[in-house]
Amino acid sequence: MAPSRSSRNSLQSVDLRALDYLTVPSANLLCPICHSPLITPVQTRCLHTFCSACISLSLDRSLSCPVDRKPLSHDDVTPAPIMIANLVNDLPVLCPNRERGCTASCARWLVESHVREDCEYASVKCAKEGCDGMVERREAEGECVHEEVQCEYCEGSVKKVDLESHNRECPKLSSECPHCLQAFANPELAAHMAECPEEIVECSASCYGCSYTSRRSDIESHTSTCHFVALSPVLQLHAERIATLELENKAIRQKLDLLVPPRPLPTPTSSTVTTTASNPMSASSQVSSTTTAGRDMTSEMQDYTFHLYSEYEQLRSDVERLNAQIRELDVKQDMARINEGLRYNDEMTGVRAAINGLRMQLHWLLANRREAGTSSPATSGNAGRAVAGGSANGGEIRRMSDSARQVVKL
Amino acid sequence: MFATKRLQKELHNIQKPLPPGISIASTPDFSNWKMDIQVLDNNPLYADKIYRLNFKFSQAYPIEAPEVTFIKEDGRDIPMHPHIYSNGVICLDLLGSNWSPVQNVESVCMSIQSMLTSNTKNERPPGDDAFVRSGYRSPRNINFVYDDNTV
Repeated sequence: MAPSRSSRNSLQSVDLRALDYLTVPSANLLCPICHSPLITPVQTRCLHTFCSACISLSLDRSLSCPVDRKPLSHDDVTPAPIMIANLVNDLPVLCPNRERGCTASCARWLVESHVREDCEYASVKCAKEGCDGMVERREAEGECVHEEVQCEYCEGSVKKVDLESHNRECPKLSSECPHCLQAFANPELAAHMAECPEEIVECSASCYGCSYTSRRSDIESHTSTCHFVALSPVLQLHAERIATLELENKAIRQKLDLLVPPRPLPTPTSSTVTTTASNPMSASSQVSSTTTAGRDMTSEMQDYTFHLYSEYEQLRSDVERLNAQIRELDVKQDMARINEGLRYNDEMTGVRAAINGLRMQLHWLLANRREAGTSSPATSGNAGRAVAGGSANGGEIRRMSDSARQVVKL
Repeated sequence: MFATKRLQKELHNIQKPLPPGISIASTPDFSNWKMDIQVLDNNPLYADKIYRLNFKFSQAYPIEAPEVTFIKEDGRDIPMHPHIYSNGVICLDLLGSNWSPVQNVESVCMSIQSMLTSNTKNERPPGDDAFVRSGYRSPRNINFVYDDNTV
């Protein structure tokens, strides 16, 4: 390398917004304003993500979030999480010099250095001392193409780099039309070529199958009688319809693929087993499988078996699911029953306790009554006196009065 | 550059099936698109009629709203609506002060479609004659007062 590497760096700037991407990026990584993958992603207070440049342009016009219209100022915009920036910076892009022939693609964060240092098609300064021209890097080694040279026909001065295009237009040069063999000055040649009566052209309905070709001057008479030309509006309409239908079909197929997961294919051995087992017809078809028709039949049968097999699989999974549900229900019911039993048990013990209490009271009352019956009937009068008399016989009084209350209650 | 790139993407997206009643009439370049819209329910005002919308994009699209008007072309008429002047100018806040750069051609078409669907009045805006005679062609020069929230 003759010149130092740095002097060969390209000054070509890369506009990240204009890049084309190698793959279709996820819709989640697109800026809602420019619909391109985010560049320097920022996020707003309301947690929406935009390109830094896009949101600031939008805020210059109206101080609200473009997505939810909440009020927003420039200060509410902060850099988005680094992970998002990394995700978009890693997207593979095509080299911006693709139109000049560069086929390279690289991650987006590398593309600037690719253009600056590596891309063979980036413009760099011409290697010649004192020349200000630009040249593609792969040609920089050669001689300077920006020197003025004289055109040998019209004697005007032309840059070397433009010589080729000049030759096509030089008014002093003439070339021959390849069809009618007449000579035309270069600037007029293109116009003549478009209407040269001697050129062999195809019928205007050639795309619909007409194979007629003739000189341009004679094609008119053919066009007026050609059936294909007469039909071409209809055919074109059909072609357009087919194209739209195909497009629609494609969309529908994509939707279907999303909705129905691909059918599970059983292993070949199991499929043959099921073929013979489930369908006796297929045995005979397998015998004749040497002929193509037989083979077609077998594949049809196999398709059918696959279908049956998948249906069977579906049913089996249904049964399994139902079984599980039943088991679950069983468990639930058991639990409910046990719970209820427990509750009843509790209630029973409660009731039993209450009955016991009642029984005790009854016993006590009966005993009391019996005692009263055996002693003199004046006991009640005694009791009344004892209450009036005070604390002479406290324990007994209390019990007596208690019993009196109880009696009232009963 | 910005506008063209974004419109390229939108054009690519609307090649896929559009919502019912909305279709592309022509997209000759990236500054002017024509879309056809149709009201789908049986609103007697608009039944079986197709209307043509003309979108004009400035270089600042989508930061700036596109100019959207109805046009008379190919036998398409201007729909009757209390917010649509007879020269096709539409009074809709979404296309003026309430424009958001997140909107796109498809969403604008849908907004206008629903604006027509919900209308029951067979009338022009007040002052339609004077407005049309005054010769405004560009909605950008008009300061609408969005006073009516019923439609």
